[in-house]
Amino acid sequence: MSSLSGSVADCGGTANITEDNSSKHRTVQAATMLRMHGARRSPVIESFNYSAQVARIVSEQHLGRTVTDRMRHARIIALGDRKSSVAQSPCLIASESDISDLGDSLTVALAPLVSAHDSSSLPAELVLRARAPLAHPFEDPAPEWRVTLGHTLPPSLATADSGLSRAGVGEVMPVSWQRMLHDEVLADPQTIPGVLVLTDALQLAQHPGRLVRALAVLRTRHPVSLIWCPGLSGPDNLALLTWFGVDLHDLGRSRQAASAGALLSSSGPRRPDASLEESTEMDRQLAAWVDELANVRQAIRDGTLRELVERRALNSSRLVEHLRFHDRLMRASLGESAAKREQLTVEDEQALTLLPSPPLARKVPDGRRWRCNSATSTNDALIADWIQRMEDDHTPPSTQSKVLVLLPCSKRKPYRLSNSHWRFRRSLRRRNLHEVMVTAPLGLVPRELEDLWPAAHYDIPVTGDWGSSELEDITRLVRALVSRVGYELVINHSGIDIDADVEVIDTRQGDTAGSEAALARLQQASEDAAERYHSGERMSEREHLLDKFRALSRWYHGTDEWLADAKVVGRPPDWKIFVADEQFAQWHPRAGRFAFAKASLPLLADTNTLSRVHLQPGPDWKGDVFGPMVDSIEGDIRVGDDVLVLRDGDLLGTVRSLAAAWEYSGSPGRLARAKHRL
Amino acid sequence: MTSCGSGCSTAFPNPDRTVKVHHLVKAPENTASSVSFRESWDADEPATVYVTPERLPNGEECTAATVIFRTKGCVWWWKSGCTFCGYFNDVRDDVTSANLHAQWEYAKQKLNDFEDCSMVKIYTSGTFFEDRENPPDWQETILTETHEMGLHLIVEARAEMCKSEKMAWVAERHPGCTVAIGLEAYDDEVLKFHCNKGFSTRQWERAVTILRDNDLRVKTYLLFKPPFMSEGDALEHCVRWVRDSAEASDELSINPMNIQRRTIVDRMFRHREYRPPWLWSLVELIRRVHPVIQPNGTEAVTRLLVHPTAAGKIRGAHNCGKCDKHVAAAIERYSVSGDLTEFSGLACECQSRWRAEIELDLALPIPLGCGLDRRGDVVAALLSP
Repeated sequence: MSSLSGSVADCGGTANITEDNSSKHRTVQAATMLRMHGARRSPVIESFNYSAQVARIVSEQHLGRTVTDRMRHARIIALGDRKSSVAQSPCLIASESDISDLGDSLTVALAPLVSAHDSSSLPAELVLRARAPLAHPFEDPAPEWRVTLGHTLPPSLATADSGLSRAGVGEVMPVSWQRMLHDEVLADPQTIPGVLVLTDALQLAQHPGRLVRALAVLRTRHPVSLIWCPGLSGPDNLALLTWFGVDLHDLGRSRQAASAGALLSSSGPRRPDASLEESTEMDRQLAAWVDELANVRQAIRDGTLRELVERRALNSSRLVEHLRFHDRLMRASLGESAAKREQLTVEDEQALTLLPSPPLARKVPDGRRWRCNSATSTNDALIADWIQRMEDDHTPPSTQSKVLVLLPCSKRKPYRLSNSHWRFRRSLRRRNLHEVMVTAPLGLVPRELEDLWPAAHYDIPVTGDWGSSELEDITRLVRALVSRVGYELVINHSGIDIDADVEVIDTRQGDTAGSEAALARLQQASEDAAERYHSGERMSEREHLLDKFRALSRWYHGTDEWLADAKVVGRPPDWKIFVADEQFAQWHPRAGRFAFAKASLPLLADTNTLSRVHLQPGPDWKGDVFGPMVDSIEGDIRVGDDVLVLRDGDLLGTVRSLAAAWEYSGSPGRLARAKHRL
Repeated sequence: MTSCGSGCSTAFPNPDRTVKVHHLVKAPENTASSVSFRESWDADEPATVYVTPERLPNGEECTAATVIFRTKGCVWWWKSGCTFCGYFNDVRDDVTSANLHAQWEYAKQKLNDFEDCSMVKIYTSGTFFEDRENPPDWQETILTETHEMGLHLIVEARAEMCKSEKMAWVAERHPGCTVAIGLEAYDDEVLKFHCNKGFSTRQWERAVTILRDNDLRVKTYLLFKPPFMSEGDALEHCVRWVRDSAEASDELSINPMNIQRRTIVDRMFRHREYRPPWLWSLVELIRRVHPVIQPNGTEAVTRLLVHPTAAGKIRGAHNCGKCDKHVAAAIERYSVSGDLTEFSGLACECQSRWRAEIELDLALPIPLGCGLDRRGDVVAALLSP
């Protein structure tokens, strides 16, 4: 077993990867760039073989890495032997002075790596040393890597390439903006560094938008790598940098703060409180780091990192800018029509040609909330994705295409569980009316989608006042929906003035939504509308449910073809979907998903309903799906998706994805858990 | 994968044609503002004439005249140019011998034929004795007249221009004059990448030999903190360059970087990617090289001069703003006295910030450094980039 085995451990110990055949399985990596959003489109597939790159850097030891938790581009990565890792990212890289100054308080778990800068001759070299045996065979001595930084021109001179003394290539790899623009080695699929060091991150941060462009490209193109922006990190920006995909940090700015008699806290730099005899020594600075590292790691696990990011962004105007630039880039990468909505720079456009769609989730664990407490929350790609798909794509149940009923949202989610909606629904006894909730920040949430992420999970502070952009979104979405679906009547119980090219009945007339008068008007209007547009139509609950499931399937999968010959059976709330007298799926309203039965897989494959992951050739597929097993993917895989597993065109089963599409090009660790095996 | 202008694949799309640093150095020369500035001056008047206190080669204190001529500039600038040099702002290709003679007459007139001066420094934004730059008849006028007036002459030159034949010609007309060469760094990587200097340390060594063979004095300029280099690396390396070039030099002048308009360094400075050196770095440099210059209290190997241009200004070597005056004055005093006690008792609260920057530059992989703003509120300077 060569030193390569470190990367085998990275892939996690899948049942079918043994040391004997590992060389075959290591020959796997997929680089998939999918410029898709929401439902599946014609995918662009790019795949490549991993073997050459392995051969290329055979002489180096590889840092053991396994992703254990993730949220978007932020990940917790266990370092070392995955069975007993000694540290996890985000974590610190210490300097020799840090270790001598801080002693035992700078534990290996906190700072598993030590860096040194050797500039005895220029260009300088970086020496990165592990403090524990983090590379295979995970025995002493701890690994050490040495690499030349090369000559680095600053970002303002990026059009130039000195062509002199390029930075080195290997397990630890220095990168600069100039290198990204001029050095072919970074785009070479055979380049798979364990640690990417963005050596001019401090300078890039001074150029509007460039830091996040560089990080977005590096992060998604090198999911296998840990990223370090030396000199940039602090407890005040740790959450943001982690959100952008940075894994490793240093105490540089804390040392600068200590030298200036200031404390770098998670709220930014400040003077110490003299009355509390507060210290600014390095041990106190380290305590701020420990606290924020814990905050960030736990926020990744809890799925609340975005909230923390929004709080920390306020620590400096630069951070606000970085977050806005990043949000804009992520929104634009939802697809062409999304990109058109943004005011992009030429460099943004260039970055977009490289970025996969943003790593959103389609389903989240039970109990998760999405708290939109700041105005910044609405800039997130998750919100933009919902709004854009509502505006451009969503087609409601076919039997609900004549009358649109606009209702106010409720604090309780899903809305149907709220008291107010219970009362609305008593006034809306006809199934042919399309109920759509008016809300912020999602704009519109149709009844058939109310159990889905993030419609069933968002929270927003309610004051009763609408923001102008919220009203704009709602008006635009209603007009788009009216135009696309072709409603003939809108019953407006939302309380918002709606101006659409169709007859609108205001059932509120200034009253509160739950008032007897308003509810009576709602009931009357709905009865009249049903009589007018659906007179004599009868529809069973199950027919109606099938129609709703088709709409849900279109939203999730871009197609409802698999439901063409289906029927709904069973009892609420766990309705079952049968095709040819065999159960193909079950709808789980609490999870907001279809649970597909094994029998449905061939049909799902034939109807192109699910995304696909193609495995490299090898022995029987037994375990889950790990990064190095993947040859290529098709479709915009989001977290929580069910994905078909194929090898050589043969359907092997399904998995439930833990990762989004960008991670399928080599992310270390488990990408998806097996659900069915044929 | 993306294609850059030359058809290669890079990590980030690069539709622009890749250029060399050379092109960036040259680009500002042809901007409208640069052209109009150059055309604004009178070619019959030198750029500057002034006097300063100085020391003669024998150590005697004296008054020195400095005359900066408006010339055709530097042969190397015509081909390429140094990354930090803004002298192109002061040159024009239509300057004639008559213009130069008129400038010389102007200077003599202004300083009463140098009646109080024992030394004259002739700066031509290039190589004084390079015939393509300056007409030989004018060179001869300067050399012979200053010799006849008994003035010690200092002229500047590029290393590769110091050819045997020409140096003999110079020495014949003004024996024992000083030729100052901007070596900048005793490191070929730095000369090539950081300075785009256009000559090597070997060429400088050859020039020194030729100058010594002709009994001419050698003055060497070293540049403190060239571009694309951190403060920490600059300090460490400049110490080495002093050590390696001291014995070959009769005088060693360390020039801390100052930001000259329209240069590469100016561009970086405006993008907050480069900050001129700390005055504390110069103090530290002097402390470290002092034992090399004056080993064991014996006679100095060379004379070490540190004259920070624009000291205390934001475009020159500077500290926090409170201590700049005192520190710069101490550095100037050292250049005269060669005595380390000039720095005794010198202290400021910004010193710890300077030290942290040096330590970080030498600990982290940040080739462009981690310098923060040194002026204003220290807490505001620490806000997240």
